[in-house]
Amino acid sequence: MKKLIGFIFLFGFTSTLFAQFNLQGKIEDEATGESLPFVNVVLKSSKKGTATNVDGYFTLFNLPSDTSTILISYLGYGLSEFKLTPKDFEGQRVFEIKEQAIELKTFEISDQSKQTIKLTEDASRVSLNPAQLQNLPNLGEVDIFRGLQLLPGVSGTSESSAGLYVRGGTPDQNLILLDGINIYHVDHFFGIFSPFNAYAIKDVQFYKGGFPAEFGGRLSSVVDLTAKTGNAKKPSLAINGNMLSLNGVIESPLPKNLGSILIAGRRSYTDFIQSPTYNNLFDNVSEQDQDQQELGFGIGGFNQVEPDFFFYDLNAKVTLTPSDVDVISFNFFSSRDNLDNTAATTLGTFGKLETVDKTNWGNDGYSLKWSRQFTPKFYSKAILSYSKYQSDYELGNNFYTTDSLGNDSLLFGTKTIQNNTVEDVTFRYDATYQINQNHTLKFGTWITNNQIQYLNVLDDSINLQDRTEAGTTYSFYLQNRSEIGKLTTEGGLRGSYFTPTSKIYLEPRLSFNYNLIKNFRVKGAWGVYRQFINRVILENVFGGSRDFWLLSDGNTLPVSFAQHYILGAAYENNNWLLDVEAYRKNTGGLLEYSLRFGGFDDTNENFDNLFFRGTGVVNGIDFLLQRKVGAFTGWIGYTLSKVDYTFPKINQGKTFPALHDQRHEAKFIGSYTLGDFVIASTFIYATGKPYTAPVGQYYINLIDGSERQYIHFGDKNSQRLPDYHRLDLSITYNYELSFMEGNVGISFFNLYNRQNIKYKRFFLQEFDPDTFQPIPPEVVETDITLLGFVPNFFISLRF
Amino acid sequence: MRNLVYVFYLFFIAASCTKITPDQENKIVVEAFLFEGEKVDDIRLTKLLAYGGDDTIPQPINDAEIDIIWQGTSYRLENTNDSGYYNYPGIDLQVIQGEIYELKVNYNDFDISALTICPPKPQNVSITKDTMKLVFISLIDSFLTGGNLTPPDPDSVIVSWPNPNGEYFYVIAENVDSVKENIYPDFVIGLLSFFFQSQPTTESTYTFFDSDFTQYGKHEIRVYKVNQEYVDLYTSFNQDSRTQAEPLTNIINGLGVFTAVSYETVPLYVKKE
Repeated sequence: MKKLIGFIFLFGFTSTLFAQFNLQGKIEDEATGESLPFVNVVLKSSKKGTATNVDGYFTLFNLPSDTSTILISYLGYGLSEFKLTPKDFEGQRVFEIKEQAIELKTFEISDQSKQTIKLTEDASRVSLNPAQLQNLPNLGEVDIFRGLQLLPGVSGTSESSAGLYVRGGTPDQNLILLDGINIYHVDHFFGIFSPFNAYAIKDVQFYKGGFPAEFGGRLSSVVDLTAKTGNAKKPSLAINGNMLSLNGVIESPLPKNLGSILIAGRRSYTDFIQSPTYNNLFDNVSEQDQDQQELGFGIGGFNQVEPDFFFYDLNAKVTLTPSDVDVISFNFFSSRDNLDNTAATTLGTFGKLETVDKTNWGNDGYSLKWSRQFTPKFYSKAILSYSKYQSDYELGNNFYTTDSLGNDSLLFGTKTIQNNTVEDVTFRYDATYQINQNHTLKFGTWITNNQIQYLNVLDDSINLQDRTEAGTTYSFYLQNRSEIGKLTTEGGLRGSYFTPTSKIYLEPRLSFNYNLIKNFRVKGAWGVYRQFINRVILENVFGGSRDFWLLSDGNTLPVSFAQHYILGAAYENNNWLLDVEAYRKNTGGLLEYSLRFGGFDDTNENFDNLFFRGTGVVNGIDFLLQRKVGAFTGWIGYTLSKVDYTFPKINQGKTFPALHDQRHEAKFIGSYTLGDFVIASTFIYATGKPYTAPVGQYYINLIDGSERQYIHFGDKNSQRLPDYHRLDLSITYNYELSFMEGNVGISFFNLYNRQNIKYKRFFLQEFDPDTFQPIPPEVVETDITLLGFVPNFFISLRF
Repeated sequence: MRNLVYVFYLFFIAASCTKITPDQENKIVVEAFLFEGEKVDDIRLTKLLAYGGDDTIPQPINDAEIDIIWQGTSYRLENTNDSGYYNYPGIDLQVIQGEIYELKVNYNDFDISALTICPPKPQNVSITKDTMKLVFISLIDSFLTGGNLTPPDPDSVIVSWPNPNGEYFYVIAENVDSVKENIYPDFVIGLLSFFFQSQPTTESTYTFFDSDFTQYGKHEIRVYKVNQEYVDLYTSFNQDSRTQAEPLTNIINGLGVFTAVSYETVPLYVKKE
């Protein structure tokens, strides 16, 4: 291990060159003064350069002269050119760029103003432009996570969850950070979109795998969201509406140039007005819930009522800039979904029966960040964050007697409860030391304390689970990025001490990028990853809110493990990008939870036995062909993958395909600009996901003489659902008036109303429905479908 | 570059291959119980009742080769009728507590097997009293009480056994009288479907109430010590159509259960008040 660690750092360090002219700067949006993260800044003559950090700062070393020319490119912005003067080297220079493109066709750096995504040079890392998402078809809301699902390697067929299945991973294996706040649940409105307001987010960095040592605690991917800081030049207001919700964003500079403030809020009006879009979406999920109830998983359906549902989310950010090199920000985030499906039936003059069915889930988070560019070479940021995910579910029956005056009094009642709370307090310190133009050293620490409560009570009496857990993870990392000639390498090591297991876990990481010939590069990454908190999936169509999180204990709930191997190549010129990445991911400590308990002696059963542990192997290859410039832009993505699980106590220990395994998935995303109109379309084609089908039944005579019937299922997940495909279309008109600008448009989801199947329902028919005579038993299959055709209208006003 | 293409090609081929799954519809169902101190005569084989087939009831298997391996010796069972039941006619195969037994079945060249251990007999089983007195509820009583069948003075007995380690036990009551007299009118029993059924428990007591009995007469209360594989039959009752959990089984390459049990009895007389 020591040799390996030594190799990792030797891998990064090589010779040092000394600079003659070093440029220290900051990139901001010309219109709003918003600092811009991860902007590429290169020297025009050599195309060598760097990228800004999360606060927009950069240092460019070894410029040949103090009158050099630099090029600045950023996703969603035009390519900008700046001719430097000797004055620019006196202290920190602010460069302002604007969204409008400048015609610089001769350069080998493309205009990115129309691009929605940009693959960085790092393996498996993608930047996403939230502003461009509004031109793509949507399901009622412009959504960042739905946008990420259009990338190869990310499942685009999970309509009922905004969670990301990245390269065979599951949504709980993704690290979701919003300005440093760790977000545990991303399903909003029953999973149809995520709780992140796209109008309040300025940058998304997405690592599909092989992510560096500065990130940890998850097995699969990282979504690093940076919220807007707000307009630092003048107050502005944006109002966005669609057929589900209203969305407002207020931005303003603070007095005395102290900084800026942004407040963004979104709330559905579904509890007041049910639009056709809402009814379409809700009917689909409630149809699935009804199916669940008919199968005996709930009570209800006997008295149809209009459910009371609403959701909201709120972002607020105050950014202070007490000096040119200091940024202090306070970020607040809250999202909530609330469904009340309670119904009551009158029982003649005797009283009434009330069926309570309430679901409430959401996130709350705060973070306080202080970052400082101490010197041109040294930058650091400290973040203190708090995050809370809460999910409460209650299903019960209350019987009331009614007296002669009509007053109800509770006779008796029972209820089933599933409550889960995850609290996360994290202190994080990240430092970047730019040794020279070739080497950048990053180091830091993350300390996370988790408090988790999970209560699952059946019928007021059976405590399936009643857990209160706490644990702290102390993590430290060190990584070095080295750019020598055509080769860029990054090596790092992350070490974590997890208090519940009292063990240290080491996670080495390596990645490289080599520009083999002009416009062609090969790249790769390898890394070890650990996860100390698990989300246990309980099947529920209403937003997944009955899933619950538990901390690893090293025994029943293992610390999960993954090893990524990534190898790829990319060809890129001004107009086109062709990217191919093959990957393998070995995972261990996977968890499955089965509610396979009987009616006996429930208070004494050890319910920890309901957890099953296993391993997984993912093999896959992603292709991406992107058209980057011109009136027509877009991309074609294709993924070939295989996800196999092996659980010793499931499927008789035989390997089986994971439930989200999908062999082929192709995506076509195109956007055509015609004057002020943008016509966009997405088409997804994927082969079917696996499912398990019943094969037959059998009977056993028990000791007391009674006979029991059992259903035998075939090999787990051995059958496949039909192929999935869907076409979405949107037309957006962008307008600009003297006092405002904005857009208006219409979007069609599933344009040709394809009946894609979510799962199959099985009904055992043993009697002829007409004659009621016994017949050879046969399984009647019913297809439970996903969303059909859903139209949506949207409008955006910006003042 | 050519090598890289070759690697990708191999990867493609490997990822595209799918395994051939075994034929699930021909699974054999084993129902095999060994009772401590008794002859081996409760072994049954049936076919799975496959969906989409022509059968309405499971078909027995009468021509399988079944062996019980005990202390290194194999004992071949015999099929005595056409209902799928097998027994061992000799007396040299004994079911003794603490001993390990292996079941081997060959049917149509398809091998299945299972292991079990005979659990120790429950010790010091006691009962709080040996007689319960129940009120006979006549047809007229049933009508007069508006269907309320609860006796005016409910009675109960408690059966106890030591269980310091929280192991699994199972209790049943069987009427062993040659002449049986119903407590309730026949039509009420038919309508309300009285059915006493206990389930495996890790407790050390079990309480019988009036309502657990439908007949007067001498009953045998049996306290069984059972193994995990028997308990698993109960945990598989609630098969969820969404999770589609396969019933637990200790049969390798088959379905059902092979288990040994041992029991102790205490008498209980159920009499008229």
